Amino acid sequence: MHRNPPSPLVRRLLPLLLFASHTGLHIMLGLAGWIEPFELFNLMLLTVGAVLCLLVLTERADYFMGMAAMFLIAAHALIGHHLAPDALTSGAILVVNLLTVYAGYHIFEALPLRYGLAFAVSYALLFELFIRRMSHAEPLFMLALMGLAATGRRFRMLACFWALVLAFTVCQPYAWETALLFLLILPAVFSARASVRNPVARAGLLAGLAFLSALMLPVLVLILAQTPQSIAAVLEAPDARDALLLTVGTATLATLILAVFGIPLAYALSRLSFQGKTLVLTLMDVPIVIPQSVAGIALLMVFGRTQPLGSALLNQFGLTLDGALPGIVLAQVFVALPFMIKPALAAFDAVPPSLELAARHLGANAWGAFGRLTLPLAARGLFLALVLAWARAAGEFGAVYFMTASPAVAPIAVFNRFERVGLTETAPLVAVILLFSLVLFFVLQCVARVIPTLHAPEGDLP
Amino acid sequence: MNDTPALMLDCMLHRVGNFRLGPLSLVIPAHAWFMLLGPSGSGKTTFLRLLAGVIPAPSGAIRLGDRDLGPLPPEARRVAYVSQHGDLFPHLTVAENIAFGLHFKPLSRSARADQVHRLLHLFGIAHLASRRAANVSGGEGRRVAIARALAPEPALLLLDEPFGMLDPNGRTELQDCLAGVHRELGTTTLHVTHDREEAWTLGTRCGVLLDGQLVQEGTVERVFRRPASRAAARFLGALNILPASAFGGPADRWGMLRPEHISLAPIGKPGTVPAVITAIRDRGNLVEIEARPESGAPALRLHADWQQARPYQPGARIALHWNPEHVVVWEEPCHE
Repeated sequence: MHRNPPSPLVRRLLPLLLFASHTGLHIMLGLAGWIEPFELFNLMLLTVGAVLCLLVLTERADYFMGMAAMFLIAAHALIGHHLAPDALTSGAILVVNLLTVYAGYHIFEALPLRYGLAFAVSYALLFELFIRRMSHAEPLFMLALMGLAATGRRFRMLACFWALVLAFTVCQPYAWETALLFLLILPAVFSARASVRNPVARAGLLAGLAFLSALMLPVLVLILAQTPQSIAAVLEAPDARDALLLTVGTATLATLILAVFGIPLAYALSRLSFQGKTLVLTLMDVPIVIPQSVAGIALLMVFGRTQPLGSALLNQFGLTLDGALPGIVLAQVFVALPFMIKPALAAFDAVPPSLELAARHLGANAWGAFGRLTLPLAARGLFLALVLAWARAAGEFGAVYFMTASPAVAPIAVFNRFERVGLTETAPLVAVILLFSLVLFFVLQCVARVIPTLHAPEGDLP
Repeated sequence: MNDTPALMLDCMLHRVGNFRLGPLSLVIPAHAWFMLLGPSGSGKTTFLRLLAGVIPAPSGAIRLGDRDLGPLPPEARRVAYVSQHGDLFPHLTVAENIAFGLHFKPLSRSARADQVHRLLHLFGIAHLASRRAANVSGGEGRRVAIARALAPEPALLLLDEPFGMLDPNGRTELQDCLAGVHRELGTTTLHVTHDREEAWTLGTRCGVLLDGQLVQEGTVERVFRRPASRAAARFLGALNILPASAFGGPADRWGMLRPEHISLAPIGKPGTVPAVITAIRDRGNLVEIEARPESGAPALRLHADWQQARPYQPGARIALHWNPEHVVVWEEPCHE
């Protein structure tokens, strides 16, 4: 930034004028009793003002910085003690303000105007927040100003600074959670690039991530609220442990059943066209569309031990469904079915039939082409289908509740505990389940990344 | 090269909607490189898919050697089919792609490795062996696809426009490469294309497929010199397709005379046709002269080299000469 220097006379007159008004006001306000004229601190400020004035006049200090410092010192000396609770605080704020002016001056000087404006607006907002809204939180204000001075030169840093400030002031009860979410969002927004500048997509990203983090907040709050002791207590409680083991066992069994019957069906749907295919594809969605409780009651009406089919199963094979483990698995299979079929179908659809055909021409029969080509190429998608189905099966409450409420799978155990002892006591159990699911899901996603797909990994390029 | 037939088609017929392919009868001798030429939509790819067993057996017989292909599924036909896209298996390396077909044959591990090694070197792609198929260039991909198809030693290789989407240099290189491979392996090959130039460089025999009908079949030389019909001549890019009277033939028939069979002669020489040049077009390696006989017959085109054509300008008088034996006259009646 280039400024026209004032004429030499004005250059000399201004510091003198500033110092003269400081001295004059010091005397007048002292006589009026507004300030203590002989207080050491005020005399010291007057001296510093005189020294600065001399330095500026002999051009041993930067003109603008010197003037700004003189102005700040005069202002603090004359009215500072009425804004700040005591002289010491006022002095400390003066030092921090000098630092801020110094940082702001360099930002205005070296960077485009928008950085300077952002800096100035940030200062005003911090003042509003800490001094006016929070009624004289001076130490915090000073701390924040130092942060502002340190981060003002880069928008990315400034955004992180504001994220922390807002997290620990406005979003106080959930400070850590919001800080964590902010620090996840901001790098994403600032690193977002497109080949052609696309502000619409960027605004969408910002809004979408904000929405997403608002939804994720409960999850974070739940996890961060727990201590290792409360989690250990849950794991030691036999009923909670049993519920977790039961859930893992039944969900795995349900996923295996779905894999055995669902993957071939998905392959058939992907490769064949037949009458009623659209109907079959629509039927796949039924478990998503109907409410869980409805699904549970519907299953009970057929497989319940008093119903024709249920009693037949009981009499012929001794198989009880409702109120027993097979009922849990059946309900889980029912609700998880679309989560198995749809991704598996997409995975098979992604393997071009022409590749299978090429394998056939090379001498592979239909089984060989499926085993050696289609299955490996669809592997990642199929694995993800298994993960989704497992997660859906493990998380099912409604349908399972109607089929078999006891022994209780984890979601039902949570419900029971909530009914019995309330929110606070249930939270640790829920946190354990949540952590367990998240870790498992994360690990499985990582595993899925290792599985090769149709697209070669980038590192393999020549 | 011996003449034992490899592929025999007898009245093969296939219908898709309004399109009818055949009835086709064709014999391809063993070790031949048969070029099937045809414009887009003439049924070339359908023809290959029928032979490869992708489309169910049509009526009529397909025999390969002493086997009837009709009822056999694709994997039992010993027919290798390389589609226009190559269809490499992207998750496998080049060597694994080539080895794919060998897994279905009773071969020892070392025999399999030897075969892969041999093909990699034959196609000049040994340096790509461990690269993933998804990361090879277009021309390299074609080589891998054809090498992969040849690995299980098929009795018949079907190539569907193998040079499509390659740049001219890549095309020439691959043509030379394939000619070398064919000399070495001698696999009977049926190569389908709409590019007339390819027929000259690779084909030993050639056929023309128009609207699902095989209108001509023979040596490349013969098919190009003596197209069987006006439509075939037109597809093969022949010039001077005119009523035969323009060449001194019967007035009610179509005929053609290849430009290279017309020569420039001294004006006034007996047996020549006086004409006026209407246009001269530089075609790069030769010059095409268009000249209208003074008798009022339609303009003829002839080729001259650059030196020969230099003295002439449009409007100049010249004399044209040709040997009447070179005139092709078809039975198609011409009403003009």
